[in-house]
Amino acid sequence: MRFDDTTWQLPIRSTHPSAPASGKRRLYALDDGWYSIDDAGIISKHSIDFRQPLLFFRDHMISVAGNPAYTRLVANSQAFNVVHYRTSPALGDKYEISVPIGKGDYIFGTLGARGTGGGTETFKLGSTTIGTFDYYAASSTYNVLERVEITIANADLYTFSAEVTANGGGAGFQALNTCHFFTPRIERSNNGDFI
Amino acid sequence: MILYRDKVDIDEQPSTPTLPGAGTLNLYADSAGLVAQDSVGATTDLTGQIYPERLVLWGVLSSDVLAFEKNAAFLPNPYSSQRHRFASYLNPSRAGEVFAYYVPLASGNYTMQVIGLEFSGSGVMVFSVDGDVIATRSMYDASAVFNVTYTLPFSIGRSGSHRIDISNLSSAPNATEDTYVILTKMIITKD
Repeated sequence: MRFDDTTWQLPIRSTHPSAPASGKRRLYALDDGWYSIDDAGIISKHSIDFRQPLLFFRDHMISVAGNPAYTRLVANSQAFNVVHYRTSPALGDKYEISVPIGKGDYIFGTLGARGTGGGTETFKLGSTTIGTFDYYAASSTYNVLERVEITIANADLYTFSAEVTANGGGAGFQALNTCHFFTPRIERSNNGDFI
Repeated sequence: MILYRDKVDIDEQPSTPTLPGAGTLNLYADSAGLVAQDSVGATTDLTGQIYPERLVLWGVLSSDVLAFEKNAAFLPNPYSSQRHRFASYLNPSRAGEVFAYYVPLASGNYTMQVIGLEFSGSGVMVFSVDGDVIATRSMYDASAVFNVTYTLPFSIGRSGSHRIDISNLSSAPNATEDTYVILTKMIITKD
Protein backbone atom coordinates (compact mmCIF):
# COMPACT_ATOMS: atom_id res chain seq x y z
CA MET A 1 0.00 0.00 0.00
CA ARG A 2 1.20 3.49 -0.80
CA PHE A 3 -0.13 6.97 0.01
CA ASP A 4 0.84 10.26 -1.51
CA ASP A 5 -0.89 13.63 -1.56
CA THR A 6 -3.48 12.73 -4.16
CA THR A 7 -3.55 8.95 -4.67
CA TRP A 8 -3.93 5.78 -2.69
CA GLN A 9 -2.57 2.57 -4.17
CA LEU A 10 -3.47 -0.97 -3.14
CA PRO A 11 -1.96 -4.13 -4.62
CA ILE A 12 -4.46 -5.98 -6.80
CA ARG A 13 -5.73 -9.12 -5.10
CA SER A 14 -6.40 -12.35 -6.98
CA THR A 15 -9.40 -13.32 -4.83
CA HIS A 16 -12.05 -11.70 -2.66
CA PRO A 17 -11.02 -11.38 1.03
CA SER A 18 -13.01 -12.61 4.01
CA ALA A 19 -15.60 -10.36 5.68
CA PRO A 20 -14.30 -7.72 8.14
CA ALA A 21 -15.27 -7.41 11.80
CA SER A 22 -18.73 -6.17 12.78
CA GLY A 23 -19.39 -2.51 11.99
CA LYS A 24 -16.65 -2.28 9.37
CA ARG A 25 -16.46 -2.37 5.56
CA ARG A 26 -13.39 -3.76 3.81
CA LEU A 27 -12.17 -1.93 0.68
CA TYR A 28 -9.90 -3.73 -1.81
CA ALA A 29 -9.01 -4.02 -5.50
CA LEU A 30 -9.27 -6.88 -8.01
CA ASP A 31 -7.95 -6.68 -11.55
CA ASP A 32 -11.28 -5.37 -12.86
CA GLY A 33 -11.88 -2.62 -10.34
CA TRP A 34 -12.63 -1.60 -6.75
CA TYR A 35 -14.72 -3.75 -4.42
CA SER A 36 -15.89 -3.69 -0.83
CA ILE A 37 -17.27 -6.39 1.44
CA ASP A 38 -19.41 -5.65 4.49
CA ASP A 39 -19.47 -7.42 7.84
CA ALA A 40 -22.19 -9.78 6.56
CA GLY A 41 -20.01 -10.89 3.65
CA ILE A 42 -21.98 -9.02 0.95
CA ILE A 43 -19.66 -7.98 -1.89
CA SER A 44 -20.20 -4.73 -3.82
CA LYS A 45 -18.35 -3.76 -6.96
CA HIS A 46 -17.61 -0.05 -7.16
CA SER A 47 -16.47 0.02 -10.77
CA ILE A 48 -19.23 -0.19 -13.33
CA ASP A 49 -18.78 -2.74 -16.10
CA PHE A 50 -20.71 -1.41 -19.06
CA ARG A 51 -20.16 -4.52 -21.15
CA GLN A 52 -23.46 -5.90 -22.33
CA PRO A 53 -25.08 -6.50 -25.69
CA LEU A 54 -26.76 -3.41 -27.13
CA LEU A 55 -29.12 -3.44 -30.12
CA PHE A 56 -31.12 -0.44 -31.23
CA PHE A 57 -33.38 0.17 -34.18
CA ARG A 58 -32.98 3.06 -36.60
CA ASP A 59 -35.80 5.39 -35.62
CA HIS A 60 -34.89 8.88 -36.75
CA MET A 61 -32.71 10.89 -39.09
CA ILE A 62 -31.15 14.31 -38.53
CA SER A 63 -30.79 16.45 -41.61
CA VAL A 64 -28.38 19.29 -42.24
CA ALA A 65 -31.19 20.72 -44.36
CA GLY A 66 -33.34 21.00 -41.24
CA ASN A 67 -35.93 18.50 -42.38
CA PRO A 68 -35.93 15.50 -40.08
CA ALA A 69 -38.76 13.62 -41.80
CA TYR A 70 -37.87 10.04 -42.42
CA THR A 71 -39.53 7.22 -44.25
CA ARG A 72 -40.40 3.94 -42.65
CA LEU A 73 -40.23 1.65 -45.61
CA VAL A 74 -42.15 -1.57 -45.08
CA ALA A 75 -40.09 -4.16 -46.89
CA ASN A 76 -41.43 -7.67 -46.73
CA SER A 77 -38.09 -9.14 -47.70
CA GLN A 78 -36.19 -7.38 -44.90
CA ALA A 79 -35.77 -8.83 -41.41
CA PHE A 80 -38.01 -6.98 -38.95
CA ASN A 81 -39.98 -5.91 -42.02
CA VAL A 82 -38.66 -2.36 -42.01
CA VAL A 83 -35.92 -0.07 -43.36
CA HIS A 84 -35.54 3.59 -42.52
CA TYR A 85 -34.13 6.45 -44.53
CA ARG A 86 -34.69 10.20 -44.66
CA THR A 87 -37.56 11.15 -46.94
CA SER A 88 -35.48 13.56 -49.03
CA PRO A 89 -32.06 11.94 -48.81
CA ALA A 90 -29.10 14.30 -48.81
CA LEU A 91 -25.41 14.38 -48.05
CA GLY A 92 -24.94 14.80 -44.31
CA ASP A 93 -28.12 13.03 -43.20
CA LYS A 94 -27.35 11.53 -39.83
CA TYR A 95 -28.65 9.20 -37.13
CA GLU A 96 -27.33 9.63 -33.56
CA ILE A 97 -27.80 7.89 -30.22
CA SER A 98 -25.92 7.76 -26.91
CA VAL A 99 -24.50 4.38 -25.94
CA PRO A 100 -22.62 3.38 -22.75
CA ILE A 101 -19.78 1.06 -23.76
CA GLY A 102 -17.17 -0.53 -21.51
CA LYS A 103 -13.52 -1.14 -22.20
CA GLY A 104 -12.75 -4.22 -24.29
CA ASP A 105 -13.22 -5.93 -27.63
CA TYR A 106 -16.59 -5.72 -29.36
CA ILE A 107 -18.43 -6.61 -32.52
CA PHE A 108 -20.12 -3.65 -34.14
CA GLY A 109 -22.84 -4.69 -36.53
CA THR A 110 -25.42 -3.05 -38.70
CA LEU A 111 -28.33 -4.61 -40.58
CA GLY A 112 -29.47 -2.74 -43.68
CA ALA A 113 -30.41 -3.01 -47.32
CA ARG A 114 -29.02 -1.86 -50.63
CA GLY A 115 -30.88 -0.17 -53.43
CA THR A 116 -30.50 2.07 -56.47
CA GLY A 117 -30.75 5.17 -54.25
CA GLY A 118 -28.37 3.93 -51.57
CA GLY A 119 -25.59 6.17 -50.30
CA THR A 120 -22.37 5.62 -48.38
CA GLU A 121 -22.68 5.81 -44.60
CA THR A 122 -19.85 6.37 -42.16
CA PHE A 123 -20.39 4.96 -38.68
CA LYS A 124 -18.57 6.56 -35.73
CA LEU A 125 -18.21 6.40 -31.97
CA GLY A 126 -17.47 10.00 -31.05
CA SER A 127 -14.99 11.14 -33.70
CA THR A 128 -13.61 7.64 -34.39
CA THR A 129 -14.77 5.89 -37.56
CA ILE A 130 -15.71 2.26 -36.94
CA GLY A 131 -17.07 1.40 -40.38
CA THR A 132 -17.97 2.80 -43.79
CA PHE A 133 -20.47 0.91 -45.94
CA ASP A 134 -21.95 1.51 -49.39
CA TYR A 135 -25.69 0.86 -49.62
CA TYR A 136 -25.95 1.17 -53.39
CA ALA A 137 -26.93 -1.81 -55.54
CA ALA A 138 -28.34 -1.98 -59.04
CA SER A 139 -31.34 -3.84 -57.63
CA SER A 140 -32.78 -4.07 -54.14
CA THR A 141 -30.73 -6.32 -51.86
CA TYR A 142 -32.12 -7.10 -48.42
CA ASN A 143 -30.64 -8.27 -45.12
CA VAL A 144 -27.21 -6.79 -45.69
CA LEU A 145 -25.40 -7.59 -42.46
CA GLU A 146 -22.07 -5.89 -41.76
CA ARG A 147 -20.03 -7.02 -38.74
CA VAL A 148 -16.62 -5.62 -37.77
CA GLU A 149 -14.29 -6.03 -34.82
CA ILE A 150 -13.58 -2.94 -32.75
CA THR A 151 -11.64 -2.29 -29.54
CA ILE A 152 -12.81 0.24 -26.96
CA ALA A 153 -9.87 1.67 -24.98
CA ASN A 154 -11.90 3.58 -22.38
CA ALA A 155 -15.32 2.97 -20.87
CA ASP A 156 -17.52 5.98 -21.57
CA LEU A 157 -20.88 7.23 -22.74
CA TYR A 158 -20.27 7.50 -26.47
CA THR A 159 -22.23 9.23 -29.21
CA PHE A 160 -22.85 6.69 -31.95
CA SER A 161 -23.49 8.28 -35.32
CA ALA A 162 -24.25 7.05 -38.81
CA GLU A 163 -23.80 9.81 -41.39
CA VAL A 164 -24.25 9.81 -45.14
CA THR A 165 -20.79 10.92 -46.26
CA ALA A 166 -21.00 10.29 -50.01
CA ASN A 167 -23.28 9.05 -52.71
CA GLY A 168 -23.05 5.30 -53.19
CA GLY A 169 -22.28 3.51 -56.42
CA GLY A 170 -25.14 5.53 -57.92
CA ALA A 171 -26.12 9.13 -57.26
CA GLY A 172 -28.29 8.49 -54.20
CA PHE A 173 -27.90 9.35 -50.53
CA GLN A 174 -30.37 6.97 -48.91
CA ALA A 175 -29.27 5.51 -45.56
CA LEU A 176 -31.08 2.19 -45.73
CA ASN A 177 -30.82 0.74 -42.23
CA THR A 178 -32.87 -1.40 -39.87
CA CYS A 179 -30.80 -1.77 -36.70
CA HIS A 180 -27.32 -1.52 -35.18
CA PHE A 181 -25.63 -3.41 -32.37
CA PHE A 182 -22.57 -3.66 -30.15
CA THR A 183 -21.70 -7.00 -28.57
CA PRO A 184 -18.82 -7.77 -26.17
CA ARG A 185 -16.51 -10.37 -27.67
CA ILE A 186 -15.97 -13.74 -26.05
CA GLU A 187 -12.29 -14.37 -25.21
CA ARG A 188 -10.58 -15.69 -28.32
CA SER A 189 -8.44 -18.49 -26.94
CA ASN A 190 -9.77 -21.81 -28.23
CA ASN A 191 -12.73 -20.07 -29.81
CA GLY A 192 -11.61 -19.66 -33.42
CA ASP A 193 -11.43 -16.67 -35.69
CA PHE A 194 -13.72 -13.74 -36.12
CA ILE A 195 -16.45 -14.32 -38.70
CA MET B 1 -9.51 2.46 10.02
CA ILE B 2 -7.21 -0.53 9.77
CA LEU B 3 -4.66 -0.63 6.96
CA TYR B 4 -3.46 -3.91 5.54
CA ARG B 5 -1.09 -4.50 2.67
CA ASP B 6 -3.89 -5.16 0.17
CA LYS B 7 -7.10 -4.03 1.89
CA VAL B 8 -8.49 -1.35 4.17
CA ASP B 9 -11.14 -1.79 6.87
CA ILE B 10 -13.24 1.35 7.28
CA ASP B 11 -15.57 1.95 10.24
CA GLU B 12 -19.17 2.37 9.09
CA GLN B 13 -20.32 5.91 9.96
CA PRO B 14 -23.66 6.23 11.80
CA SER B 15 -24.17 9.70 10.26
CA THR B 16 -22.62 12.00 7.65
CA PRO B 17 -19.06 12.89 8.68
CA THR B 18 -17.50 16.36 8.88
CA LEU B 19 -17.01 18.00 5.50
CA PRO B 20 -13.56 17.68 3.92
CA GLY B 21 -11.52 20.79 3.20
CA ALA B 22 -11.73 22.71 -0.06
CA GLY B 23 -10.25 20.82 -2.98
CA THR B 24 -10.48 17.42 -1.31
CA LEU B 25 -12.94 14.52 -1.47
CA ASN B 26 -14.05 12.32 1.43
CA LEU B 27 -14.40 8.57 1.02
CA TYR B 28 -16.31 6.91 3.87
CA ALA B 29 -18.50 3.88 4.58
CA ASP B 30 -21.98 3.62 6.02
CA SER B 31 -24.20 0.61 6.50
CA ALA B 32 -25.32 0.76 2.84
CA GLY B 33 -21.93 1.00 1.19
CA LEU B 34 -19.25 3.49 0.21
CA VAL B 35 -19.95 7.21 -0.17
CA ALA B 36 -17.98 10.07 -1.70
CA GLN B 37 -18.48 13.54 -0.15
CA ASP B 38 -17.16 16.85 -1.49
CA SER B 39 -16.20 20.01 0.36
CA VAL B 40 -19.68 21.57 0.04
CA GLY B 41 -21.45 18.49 1.39
CA ALA B 42 -22.66 16.85 -1.82
CA THR B 43 -22.59 13.09 -1.44
CA THR B 44 -22.58 10.36 -4.08
CA ASP B 45 -23.33 6.73 -3.34
CA LEU B 46 -20.65 4.62 -4.96
CA THR B 47 -23.25 2.08 -5.95
CA GLY B 48 -21.03 0.39 -8.46
CA GLN B 49 -22.29 -2.18 -10.88
CA ILE B 50 -25.94 -1.94 -11.87
CA TYR B 51 -27.35 -5.19 -13.18
CA PRO B 52 -30.26 -5.43 -15.60
CA GLU B 53 -33.37 -7.35 -14.61
CA ARG B 54 -34.48 -7.85 -18.19
CA LEU B 55 -32.29 -8.41 -21.25
CA VAL B 56 -33.18 -9.21 -24.84
CA LEU B 57 -30.70 -11.09 -27.03
CA TRP B 58 -31.62 -11.19 -30.71
CA GLY B 59 -30.78 -14.76 -31.70
CA VAL B 60 -27.52 -15.18 -33.52
CA LEU B 61 -27.79 -11.72 -35.12
CA SER B 62 -25.80 -9.74 -32.55
CA SER B 63 -23.96 -12.62 -30.89
CA ASP B 64 -20.31 -13.57 -30.95
CA VAL B 65 -20.04 -16.70 -33.07
CA LEU B 66 -17.63 -19.41 -32.04
CA ALA B 67 -17.78 -21.44 -35.21
CA PHE B 68 -15.59 -24.13 -36.59
CA GLU B 69 -15.92 -22.77 -40.09
CA LYS B 70 -14.82 -19.30 -41.11
CA ASN B 71 -17.46 -19.19 -43.82
CA ALA B 72 -20.41 -19.60 -41.49
CA ALA B 73 -22.90 -16.88 -42.40
CA PHE B 74 -25.88 -15.36 -40.66
CA LEU B 75 -29.23 -15.50 -42.27
CA PRO B 76 -31.62 -12.96 -40.74
CA ASN B 77 -34.60 -14.34 -42.61
CA PRO B 78 -37.86 -12.38 -42.76
CA TYR B 79 -40.23 -15.22 -41.99
CA SER B 80 -43.66 -13.76 -42.60
CA SER B 81 -45.34 -15.85 -39.90
CA GLN B 82 -42.71 -15.32 -37.22
CA ARG B 83 -42.89 -12.69 -34.49
CA HIS B 84 -40.96 -9.52 -35.50
CA ARG B 85 -40.81 -11.12 -38.95
CA PHE B 86 -37.33 -12.19 -37.94
CA ALA B 87 -35.37 -15.28 -37.03
CA SER B 88 -31.66 -15.89 -37.51
CA TYR B 89 -29.39 -18.88 -37.79
CA LEU B 90 -25.92 -19.91 -38.82
CA ASN B 91 -25.52 -21.10 -42.38
CA PRO B 92 -24.13 -23.58 -43.19
CA SER B 93 -25.01 -25.13 -39.89
CA ARG B 94 -22.36 -27.37 -38.34
CA ALA B 95 -22.97 -29.74 -35.47
CA GLY B 96 -21.39 -28.43 -32.29
CA GLU B 97 -21.31 -24.79 -33.33
CA VAL B 98 -21.78 -22.17 -30.64
CA PHE B 99 -22.93 -18.58 -30.53
CA ALA B 100 -22.52 -16.68 -27.30
CA TYR B 101 -23.14 -13.48 -25.36
CA TYR B 102 -21.50 -11.84 -22.38
CA VAL B 103 -24.21 -10.48 -20.10
CA PRO B 104 -23.96 -8.79 -16.68
CA LEU B 105 -26.20 -10.57 -14.17
CA ALA B 106 -26.63 -10.22 -10.41
CA SER B 107 -26.82 -13.34 -8.30
CA GLY B 108 -30.32 -14.81 -8.21
CA ASN B 109 -32.84 -16.82 -10.14
CA TYR B 110 -33.70 -16.07 -13.77
CA THR B 111 -35.95 -17.30 -16.52
CA MET B 112 -34.88 -17.28 -20.14
CA GLN B 113 -37.73 -17.37 -22.61
CA VAL B 114 -36.60 -18.45 -26.06
CA ILE B 115 -38.70 -17.62 -29.10
CA GLY B 116 -37.84 -19.58 -32.20
CA LEU B 117 -39.23 -21.77 -34.87
CA GLU B 118 -39.11 -25.49 -35.48
CA PHE B 119 -38.75 -27.18 -38.82
CA SER B 120 -37.48 -30.30 -40.52
CA GLY B 121 -33.85 -29.14 -40.74
CA SER B 122 -33.55 -28.19 -37.08
CA GLY B 123 -31.48 -29.91 -34.44
CA VAL B 124 -31.20 -29.88 -30.68
CA MET B 125 -30.53 -26.54 -29.01
CA VAL B 126 -28.22 -26.61 -26.01
CA PHE B 127 -28.42 -23.70 -23.54
CA SER B 128 -25.40 -23.19 -21.28
CA VAL B 129 -24.42 -20.63 -18.65
CA ASP B 130 -20.71 -20.20 -17.91
CA GLY B 131 -20.04 -23.54 -19.58
CA ASP B 132 -22.62 -25.52 -17.62
CA VAL B 133 -25.43 -27.04 -19.67
CA ILE B 134 -28.77 -25.80 -18.30
CA ALA B 135 -31.18 -27.36 -20.77
CA THR B 136 -31.55 -28.97 -24.18
CA ARG B 137 -34.58 -28.69 -26.46
CA SER B 138 -35.26 -30.45 -29.73
CA MET B 139 -36.23 -27.90 -32.37
CA TYR B 140 -37.17 -30.51 -34.94
CA ASP B 141 -40.61 -30.70 -36.46
CA ALA B 142 -41.59 -32.36 -39.72
CA SER B 143 -43.24 -29.12 -40.84
CA ALA B 144 -42.45 -25.49 -39.95
CA VAL B 145 -43.93 -24.38 -36.62
CA PHE B 146 -43.61 -20.66 -35.92
CA ASN B 147 -43.39 -18.72 -32.65
CA VAL B 148 -42.39 -21.69 -30.53
CA THR B 149 -41.37 -20.70 -27.01
CA TYR B 150 -39.21 -22.52 -24.50
CA THR B 151 -39.06 -21.43 -20.86
CA LEU B 152 -35.68 -22.20 -19.33
CA PRO B 153 -35.01 -21.35 -15.65
CA PHE B 154 -31.44 -20.89 -14.40
CA SER B 155 -29.57 -19.46 -11.42
CA ILE B 156 -26.56 -17.19 -11.07
CA GLY B 157 -24.42 -17.73 -8.00
CA ARG B 158 -22.20 -14.64 -8.06
CA SER B 159 -22.92 -11.22 -9.53
CA GLY B 160 -20.75 -10.32 -12.49
CA SER B 161 -20.30 -10.87 -16.22
CA HIS B 162 -21.59 -14.25 -17.34
CA ARG B 163 -21.48 -16.16 -20.58
CA ILE B 164 -24.63 -17.40 -22.29
CA ASP B 165 -24.00 -20.05 -24.95
CA ILE B 166 -26.44 -21.47 -27.48
CA SER B 167 -25.14 -24.44 -29.40
CA ASN B 168 -26.41 -27.48 -31.25
CA LEU B 169 -25.70 -31.05 -30.29
CA SER B 170 -22.89 -32.70 -32.18
CA SER B 171 -25.05 -35.80 -32.48
CA ALA B 172 -28.79 -35.41 -32.72
CA PRO B 173 -30.91 -37.91 -30.77
CA ASN B 174 -32.64 -39.24 -33.86
CA ALA B 175 -31.79 -39.61 -37.50
CA THR B 176 -34.32 -37.09 -38.76
CA GLU B 177 -32.90 -34.14 -36.81
CA ASP B 178 -30.40 -31.92 -38.55
CA THR B 179 -28.32 -29.16 -36.98
CA TYR B 180 -30.02 -25.80 -37.56
CA VAL B 181 -30.96 -23.69 -34.54
CA ILE B 182 -33.29 -20.91 -35.65
CA LEU B 183 -34.11 -18.27 -33.07
CA THR B 184 -35.84 -14.90 -32.95
CA LYS B 185 -34.80 -13.77 -29.49
CA MET B 186 -34.01 -14.79 -25.95
CA ILE B 187 -35.55 -12.77 -23.12
CA ILE B 188 -33.74 -13.05 -19.78
CA THR B 189 -35.84 -11.92 -16.82
CA LYS B 190 -34.91 -11.89 -13.12
CA ASP B 191 -37.50 -13.81 -11.11
